[in-house]
Amino acid sequence: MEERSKLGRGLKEISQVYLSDSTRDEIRRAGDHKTEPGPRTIIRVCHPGSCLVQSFFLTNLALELARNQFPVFVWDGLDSSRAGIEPLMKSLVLEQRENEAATVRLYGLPDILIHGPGRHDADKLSDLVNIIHSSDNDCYLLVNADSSLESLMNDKIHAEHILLSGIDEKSLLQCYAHIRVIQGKGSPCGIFIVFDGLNDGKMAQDTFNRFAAFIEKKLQFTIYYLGYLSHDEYLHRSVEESKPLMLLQDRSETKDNMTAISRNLILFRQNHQKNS
Amino acid sequence: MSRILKPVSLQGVEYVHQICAQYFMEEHGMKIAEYNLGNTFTGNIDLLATDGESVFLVTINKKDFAGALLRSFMGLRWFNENLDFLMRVYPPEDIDLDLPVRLIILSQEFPPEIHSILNDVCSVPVQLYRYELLGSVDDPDIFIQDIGISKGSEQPAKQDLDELRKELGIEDAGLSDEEILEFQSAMKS
Repeated sequence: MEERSKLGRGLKEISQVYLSDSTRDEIRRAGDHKTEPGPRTIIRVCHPGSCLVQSFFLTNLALELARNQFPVFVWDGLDSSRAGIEPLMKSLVLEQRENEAATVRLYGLPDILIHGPGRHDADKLSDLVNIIHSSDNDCYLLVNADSSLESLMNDKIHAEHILLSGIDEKSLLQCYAHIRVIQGKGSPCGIFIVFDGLNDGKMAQDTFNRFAAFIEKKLQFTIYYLGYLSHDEYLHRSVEESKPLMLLQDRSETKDNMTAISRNLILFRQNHQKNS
Repeated sequence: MSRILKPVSLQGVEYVHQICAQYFMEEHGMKIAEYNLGNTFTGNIDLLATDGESVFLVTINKKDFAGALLRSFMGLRWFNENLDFLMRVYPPEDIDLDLPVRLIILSQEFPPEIHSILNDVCSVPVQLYRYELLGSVDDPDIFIQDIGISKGSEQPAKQDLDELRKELGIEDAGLSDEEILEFQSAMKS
């Protein structure tokens, strides 16, 4: 019985992380998606309350986008800290040379290329932005941002924003302050909200309705709701074991939340492109 | 045949706390977690009760209103200062001490303008009840009249807002006091 159990775990490990180290033709990264190029594919992710949850979220969002065949670039603004992306993707990152992007290569999916100020100079981010802008396919640049307001104010990138927040009053006020600064910088793109640390969808939706109504009234600006992220044991296990949640085989509430959030983002962008 | 109930002096009537507690349990569905909490020197609460939405610190005035008011305020201060200890003593299934706190004062008399006085002074809501004991000393009946609530000042002071900005690291967002208060009010409603 013990042997059988061991065998089961082994197979599971293989299916969880099915890596491919073969070189990938860059044209294949482009895929057949023909969509409008532009800044809408650059997304700045920020959680003013928790760098770790922010990196966790971005890691799994990147994997979900790749699973939907979107090429993904990541700028990990937290790569010099322990709360960066790479520790969470440790088991997936291929060997890399200095000054090169960390590459996550999963079987059948576009590569995820991770850059960051710890390994590249700041011009690299501008290069990535140019790549995204000039690309004729629907690819994403996800920016794992420093969550301070100062960093937001100094940020020159024209991007959409995903703001993660708790639903307590202080977290929401922090989130509101970020939206205020984003709006103050002029011509804001889309701002998406994800509520973190709760498992009640109705409560999350009600909170968003109140929050969005206030912002609409006060700033004459519409924000969008992507969903909520519960914290179940798989989230903790994923962080502890440096294995992204989306690659764990077990069913998990947090994983379902993450899938729904990613789907909402993709659908929103598709609808937006159709309407524009 | 009618029965005439005559007011009874509090002198000689025992178990006033229990009689009042019975009123709150039967009329307001409250649960009494404790009787006579604290002490005269540091602050004293006659009844510690909850209705599942708030925690009530009940003070029953048996002598003079001024003394009872001071006792109620001291009880609130004692409660706030010892909250961590009380949370260890009382399990959440008995009383959830994270709930918002309200004061209740029962008295036979109240000074004029008491509601506006409490509104100006208090940071928590204060519910006032007028009560009278009727019948006989041995078997008293209680008559209790709800005379309203003073909502208290629930808005944080200016200094608190500065600290809040600092705590959240949002000083640079340029949010005015009015904007923060408006936001807090909108999120509560």
